[in-house]
Amino acid sequence: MRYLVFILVLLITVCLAVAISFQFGSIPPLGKLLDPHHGFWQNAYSEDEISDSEIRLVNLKESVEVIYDENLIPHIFAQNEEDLFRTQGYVTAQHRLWQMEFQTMAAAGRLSEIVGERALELDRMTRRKGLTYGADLGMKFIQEKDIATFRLLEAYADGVNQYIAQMTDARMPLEYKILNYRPEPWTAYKSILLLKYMTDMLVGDQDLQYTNLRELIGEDLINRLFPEYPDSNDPVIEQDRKWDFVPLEVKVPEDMVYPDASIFLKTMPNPEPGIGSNNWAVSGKKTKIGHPILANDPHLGLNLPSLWFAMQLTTPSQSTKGATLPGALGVISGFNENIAWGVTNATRDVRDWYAIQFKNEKRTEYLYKDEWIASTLRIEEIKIKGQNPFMDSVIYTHHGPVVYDKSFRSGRLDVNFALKWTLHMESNEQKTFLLLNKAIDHSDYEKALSHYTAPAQNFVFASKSGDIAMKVQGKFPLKWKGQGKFLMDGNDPRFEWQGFIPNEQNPSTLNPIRGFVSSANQNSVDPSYPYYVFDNGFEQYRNRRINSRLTELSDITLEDMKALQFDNYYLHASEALPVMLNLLEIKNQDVENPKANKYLDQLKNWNFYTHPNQTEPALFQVWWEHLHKGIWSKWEREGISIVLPNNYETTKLLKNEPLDLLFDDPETPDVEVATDVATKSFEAMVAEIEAWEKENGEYNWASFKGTSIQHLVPDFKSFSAENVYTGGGRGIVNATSERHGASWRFVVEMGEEITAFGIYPGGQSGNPGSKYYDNFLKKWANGEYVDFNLRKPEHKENILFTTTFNK
Amino acid sequence: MAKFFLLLLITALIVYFLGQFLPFWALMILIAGLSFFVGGNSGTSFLGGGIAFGGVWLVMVLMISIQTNSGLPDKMAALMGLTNPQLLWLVTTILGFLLGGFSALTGNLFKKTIHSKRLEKRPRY
Repeated sequence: MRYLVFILVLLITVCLAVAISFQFGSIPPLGKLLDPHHGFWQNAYSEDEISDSEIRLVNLKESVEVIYDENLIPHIFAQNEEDLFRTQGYVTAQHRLWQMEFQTMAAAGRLSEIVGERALELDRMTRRKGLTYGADLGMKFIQEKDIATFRLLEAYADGVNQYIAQMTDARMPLEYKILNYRPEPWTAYKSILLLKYMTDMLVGDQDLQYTNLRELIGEDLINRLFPEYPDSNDPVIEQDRKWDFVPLEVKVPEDMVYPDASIFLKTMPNPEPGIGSNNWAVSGKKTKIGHPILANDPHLGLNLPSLWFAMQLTTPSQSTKGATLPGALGVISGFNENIAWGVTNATRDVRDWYAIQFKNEKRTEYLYKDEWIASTLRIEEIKIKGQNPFMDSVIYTHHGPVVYDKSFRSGRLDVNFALKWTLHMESNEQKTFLLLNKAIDHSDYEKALSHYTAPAQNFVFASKSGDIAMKVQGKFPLKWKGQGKFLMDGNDPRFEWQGFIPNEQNPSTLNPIRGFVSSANQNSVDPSYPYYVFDNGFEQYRNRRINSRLTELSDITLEDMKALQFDNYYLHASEALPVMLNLLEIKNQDVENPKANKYLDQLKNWNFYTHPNQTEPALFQVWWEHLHKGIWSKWEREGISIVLPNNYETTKLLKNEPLDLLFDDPETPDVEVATDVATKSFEAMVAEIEAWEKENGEYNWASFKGTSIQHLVPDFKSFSAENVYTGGGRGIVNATSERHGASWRFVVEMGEEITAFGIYPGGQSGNPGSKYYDNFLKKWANGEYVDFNLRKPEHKENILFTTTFNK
Repeated sequence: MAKFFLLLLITALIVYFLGQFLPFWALMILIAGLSFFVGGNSGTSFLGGGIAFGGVWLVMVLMISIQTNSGLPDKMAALMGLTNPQLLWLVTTILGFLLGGFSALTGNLFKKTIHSKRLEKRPRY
């Protein structure tokens, strides 16, 4: 009997231990998670409560001091570059290890290893579009051609790995504990992968969508509704810029015929409209103290832990401060003692699609110049948590990988679309940032940029010596007019890119007469630029608002620049709303619904700002959405992706051609004109807002918009910030929409004493239990900044703690 | 009673000090072993191990919460679908109690099982 009781109790004990040691479905091992010594409770400590004053970091040449300011911004003081980046790796891993690894897992198409089968489709897409293939090439290139950069990448990786080796279970980032896995070693390859991931995030194309639309509405209408230069073009490089070079010749082939195709496949997601950025620099003659001021705010997905990690990186020969990307070396957007620089996306169509014809189902040979050429095969093994790995065969042609085929998103034997993309080319973006970090003047900046391939960026520049500059830098294919706008014939060599625009002929300007340079993802140039420049994503509003403000302003101070970054003026609304109100058949006296009357009054008296407490922006946005949909949704077909005319062209059409047949809805017997669509969409807006009011109360802009800053794992809702009270929106200089916005804002005055301020929506800590996880958030939402001045080691004020790294 | 306090005290020390270096399952083995040597009433052994283990975990959780004033327990509770964030203390404590209690009970009963076997093997006169 006793024996039986013992066995029973033993069984219970063992079962209990086992039950809380293993993961069941999505429930993590509770024993490890709840154990106060090692589990999540340990992540409740903030960094200042568990700081070390000394840490051993082998392979250092000299000791390194890291001073944390009151916002947990580390200031690294090293004696040489290798020590600097070794320590940068260690310190970044201390605060952001999980995030930096997770992002590179995403970039490598390895998320299924962590979260299981639900990420398989995403991983397959990542692999098929060749991110890892591009990173392999980048790695090989840097290893062979730039051993100095490679050594620094290795030093950084060594720093990260020494942190991983020293890390106790208690200090392990919370996400590992919840998702039940451990960090693997960091490598130089992962840093390269991360920069490729940024390219993927920022570069899109609409070639297949355009191809479908051409089938549907014809090329003439496309040319009319999607002009390559808008009427109000206000390009990155000022319009009066004279191009003082002899351009390479681009041969335009005769009787080109694009292959016809209706492409029934789910195309890959494009960067959100709204992913964009602003940057500008004003020359000393426009500023109060007579020195240049530079400002930059890149708009990206709003996530926690924040995309950016602020740092100062100092050696005896350089001192750089700004925003770093966890996983990449150096500062990406910031300043040093001599220059400042910033980036915005210079979107351009550098991704083209070729229809490939294979000899047979084996797909080992494809047709090029009417001959059979051998293809290559890259097997992608995608490991899946709790399951057998998935093997994906990706066929590579000389154009690039065949992304869409019978096994992926098409299901048709005759669909084989290969992707050509500058991401698949040898490149060394890391070098650009390493050189910018220590650049002294404009010529250093130009040298640094010459190594830069993708994602193409508008690099703004200002120097203490008084120069301001802008350059649109990337590797841009030489194209004939219209090339690559649609799916091309992979057999016909005339569809091939004819080379690349030389770096020195990329659009650039230095000290323009107008006294400022600026960019906000608009067209890079005006039509006088001798090369074909095309992208569907050029923005038409923020640029004009910024340029008109910069033109008006004089005696500019840092405060003016902060205000401009936080500018909530809705230019699109100011242009569209008067047209819409004009078209509206309902006038105040006719309205039966008192709500409609009220909404109309509000709109009529709106000042076109989008402050968080205003109600008009919600009215306008909903009306506009219904209006845009009312005009264009007739082209949408189930399963066919197309591109629709943008807000600017739609407004123009409403204003100038309100009787155009484009406004007709073919489903009704009547012939509709702009007035009809405007009225109908107004009514739809009234109904929607009324319903919203009933359910949620007042439709003030912040509540209606519902800006949220999500944890990188969207299921971790309590680690996210929902309904952040802030204004702005898509197409507004303060571009804070639902999920996107200024992921980093900084302004710097390049005076005798450099003065800088910065902020981002989050905090320095990657740990959701730390008080530094989201302590910047409220300031960011209010348009406030924190001090970003360069710090010297002897400064003793506002120090949170100091860590000395010894070899 | 003395055995109860002995078990309670040593278990508490093991959980608090060795717990920093060992995973919870290793603590369970140690406590079972301890309880084997201490022996005594099975019920007191269960309570002694349970109260000590759960108690130390509760004290630690309280200390961490007071020291850090972090919102993390609330966030974790929300993540785990617990409506009341205080429940997480309770869950941790109960889990600690069960781990300690059953480990100690197992050790205790093991001793009794062996003991009774010895009794059975005693030669009959």
